[in-house]
Amino acid sequence: MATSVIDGPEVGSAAPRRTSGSRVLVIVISCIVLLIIGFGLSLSIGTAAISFGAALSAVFLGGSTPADLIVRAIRLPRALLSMLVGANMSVGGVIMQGITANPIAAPEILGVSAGAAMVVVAALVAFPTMGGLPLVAAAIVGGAVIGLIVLLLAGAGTGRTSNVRLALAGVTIAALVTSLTQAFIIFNDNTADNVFFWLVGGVNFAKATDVWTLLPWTVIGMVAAMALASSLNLLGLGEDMARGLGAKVERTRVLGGVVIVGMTGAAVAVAGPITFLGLVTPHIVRKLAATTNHFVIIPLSALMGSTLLLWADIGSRFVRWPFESPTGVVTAVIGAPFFIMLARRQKVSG
Amino acid sequence: MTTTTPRRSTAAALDSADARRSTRHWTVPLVLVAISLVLSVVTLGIGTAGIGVGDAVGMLVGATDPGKTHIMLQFLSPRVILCWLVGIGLAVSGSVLQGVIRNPLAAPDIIGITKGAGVGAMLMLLWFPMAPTGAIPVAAFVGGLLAALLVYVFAYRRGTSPVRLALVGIAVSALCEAIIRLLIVRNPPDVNAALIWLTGSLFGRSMSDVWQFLPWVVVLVPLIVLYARRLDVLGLGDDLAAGLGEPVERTRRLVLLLAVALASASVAVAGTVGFIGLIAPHIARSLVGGRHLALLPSSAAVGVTLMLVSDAIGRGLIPPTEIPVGLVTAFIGGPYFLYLLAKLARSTTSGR
Amino acid sequence: MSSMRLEATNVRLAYEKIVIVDDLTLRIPDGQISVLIGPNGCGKSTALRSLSRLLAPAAGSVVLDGQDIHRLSTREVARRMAILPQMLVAPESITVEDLVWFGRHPHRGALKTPSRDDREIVGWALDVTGMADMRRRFVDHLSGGQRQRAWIALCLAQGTDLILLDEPTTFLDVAYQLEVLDLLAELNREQGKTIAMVLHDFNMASEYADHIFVMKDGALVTQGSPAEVLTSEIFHQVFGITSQVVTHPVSGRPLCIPIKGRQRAVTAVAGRV
Repeated sequence: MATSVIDGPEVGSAAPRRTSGSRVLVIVISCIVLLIIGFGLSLSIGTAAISFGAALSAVFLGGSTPADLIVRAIRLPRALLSMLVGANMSVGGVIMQGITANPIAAPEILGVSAGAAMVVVAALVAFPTMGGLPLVAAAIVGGAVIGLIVLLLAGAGTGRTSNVRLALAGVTIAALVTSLTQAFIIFNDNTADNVFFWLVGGVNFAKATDVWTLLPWTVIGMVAAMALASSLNLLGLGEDMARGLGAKVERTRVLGGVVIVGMTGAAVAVAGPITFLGLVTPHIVRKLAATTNHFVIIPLSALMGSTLLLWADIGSRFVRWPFESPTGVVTAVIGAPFFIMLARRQKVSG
Repeated sequence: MTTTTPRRSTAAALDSADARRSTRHWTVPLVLVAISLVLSVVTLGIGTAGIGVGDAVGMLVGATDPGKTHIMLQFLSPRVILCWLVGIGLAVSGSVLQGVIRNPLAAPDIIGITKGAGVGAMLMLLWFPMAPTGAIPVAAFVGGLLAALLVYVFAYRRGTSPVRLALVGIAVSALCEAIIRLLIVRNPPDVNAALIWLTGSLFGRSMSDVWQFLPWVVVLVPLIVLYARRLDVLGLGDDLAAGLGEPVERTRRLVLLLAVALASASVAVAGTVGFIGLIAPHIARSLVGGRHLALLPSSAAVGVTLMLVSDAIGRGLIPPTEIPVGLVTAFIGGPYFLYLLAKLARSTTSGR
Repeated sequence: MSSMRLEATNVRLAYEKIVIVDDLTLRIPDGQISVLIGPNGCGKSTALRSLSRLLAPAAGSVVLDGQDIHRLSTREVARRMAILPQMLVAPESITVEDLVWFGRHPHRGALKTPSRDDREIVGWALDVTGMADMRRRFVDHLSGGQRQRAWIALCLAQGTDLILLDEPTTFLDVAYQLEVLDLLAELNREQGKTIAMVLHDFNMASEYADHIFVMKDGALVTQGSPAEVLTSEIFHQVFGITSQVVTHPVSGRPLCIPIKGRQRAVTAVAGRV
């Protein structure tokens, strides 16, 4: 008899079960409530104390007092951006965990974020005024190349790779890529400070243009992700089984990869590589909603990811009040223990 | 099929087999050491204006201008010695970790030790800038130790499984990374210096650094070598190792402690130099096999060679600018690691 | 009545909070081949693990040579008892010889040089398992049966009289299963080794065992010689199958023949069950 194990929520453990609709409803409502509250808080909390009501009126009723301007130009983009980035990273994580059948896969673990970040830094060093679409494109290319390298080299396509090997490979390559990124920074003194802040990951200095840059990617990404949902469900039964049921495994993987890289790359281009969100949110959703059905998981992860990052951003303001701290630090501090919890539930092998 | 009386021939044959195998275990490290010695001398002549390789060689026979000799001995030789020590430290530490975690991708940089040491050193630098330089290695050691402790504690659940150790290590490493970056962000004027230290550099190291680090290596490495065979037994799997009389958890704990101490001390003196701990054991393994008695010395020798080569390249590529040695190891180590991964992926047996 | 060196008395075995075995008493008879059988999840592997000191009992005690096995050091136990677990992990590219040398580990100190005795025992272990000619080959390149024999040689090199094996024949082709079991039988017959193992195949158990322990749901259902223990009633009670137990035409041991559903109806009608 094998050593008894206590599993964590397994990706692809069984056919998607009927979700208790009420659980999903509760989660959705809670997230929306939290989002609204968080939105208001995000608008009002800052070095310039602005009340809840004043903030909301600034957004919806216009006006040109200094407070209104602060809200609209600085805090509103920040709040919106954190929501979008949260959604992007989370959905990226869901898809990655789905196509690699690996519960510890995520864009940051497998090097996609690091790759995107490296190319962005390189681009900014060469063209300091670059922004918007070209920057996103660069980020996507970087993320795609590195992510592909990791997946290929860790043998994700050929037979069974141990999950741990994939994670270790991804982390090591990410470390390599980050060294390169740091090299760019070291040899370009004038870019050091802000680039570094960005490198840690933060929506702290979001601009309105960032929001507009990211939005299309979020929308298109979500649509594409939902289109993949049924294939992802099938993949959860195991590759062979999925093929037997008519799933086009390779195509799903490629399309999934495209969505991941697109959503993650765009998010990194505007907010830097934010860690752990893509890893952790899908697990929370799967656990709370008690489902493996991607039609439910994808939108819920987007919703929950937005909420989490919005609140993480609020939290980041308190780390060293009144100074800004990168949001990426908060997600790391919260995400790491979570990942550790996941790791503890991994099966013990020999 | 079988006889019950021991055949003399088999026992005798075992003797000669042992002898034959051992030769490679000696020749490989010796050759590497010889190469490293030559490199050590040559590298003294690289990268400093006005001093060339000829001067370095000439110094051995006393044929060089005393001024140049002084520069080489005073400023460059500590770096060379540190290359030796750090190379040994990181390589041996990496070998041990890969054996304990039973995963060829494990390394001190990956499972949180180097990052933890980095946090320790940075905190010391930032909070107590007036402290003597001797305090920094201690702080780094404490940081690395704490990180390793965190990893161990969180990975412990009726014993630590190699899988859990690796995964928890990744998480703790990421956590430390975030803290380090936060610390750097708080101190913009020092970003560059901090980054350079983080990447791993031997710039400005002096003999006092050497004396600080030397005891760690001299004490810890032989201790680890004493455990060589027991590390082999651990590699057979926890159950069989216990069946062979190895107190598995206790041995693992002790050996991890030694490896952590060694890696942390290396970080304290040279910053977080990456990839040596990952790659040196691999190269050594492909040359002399996986038995630790052979692996550890060869791994150390490879580590030394890699450090010397990297340092030479770092100083000699675009003089007088110095590329931090950690960056060079990343550039050398990175592609090699990718090649390793590709090889692993291609092997049909899914090793764990 | 043979003496018992190894026994578990009233043990309760659990993983975390899940109790697998409660109040189990197993006494392994010396100089015989004992086999534990039972359906999946009955606790036979767990019981073996507790006997091999790999799992500490939550209650009760496991005793080796009159001493509590958990008061003895792992090394001390390793000198008296060898274990072959089910999951075997060979380091990459290791030769048969190197593998078998590990068996001397409990006897060697930190000093490196192997003694004359060590060499003799390793040589003997290789001879007895028929692996002497293959000692320089890589373990991964061997056939299933050869590989298992190499692992058994490792256990033999430990020089113990007591050997515990957890499902040593699962995953092997039937020819190799017989190869391994024949080897164990010979070791018992000619060297007097005490063998205790978990087997999945109850007919194999019948052929080779002197003493059988039948377990179900964490408890010992019955024990005794194959002829005493292997009846169709037991097979029905423990394994949930209808069967006919005949005498093996060559060995004279009990042979269990499961009866399929349809035939069950036929034989019932014919009044033979």
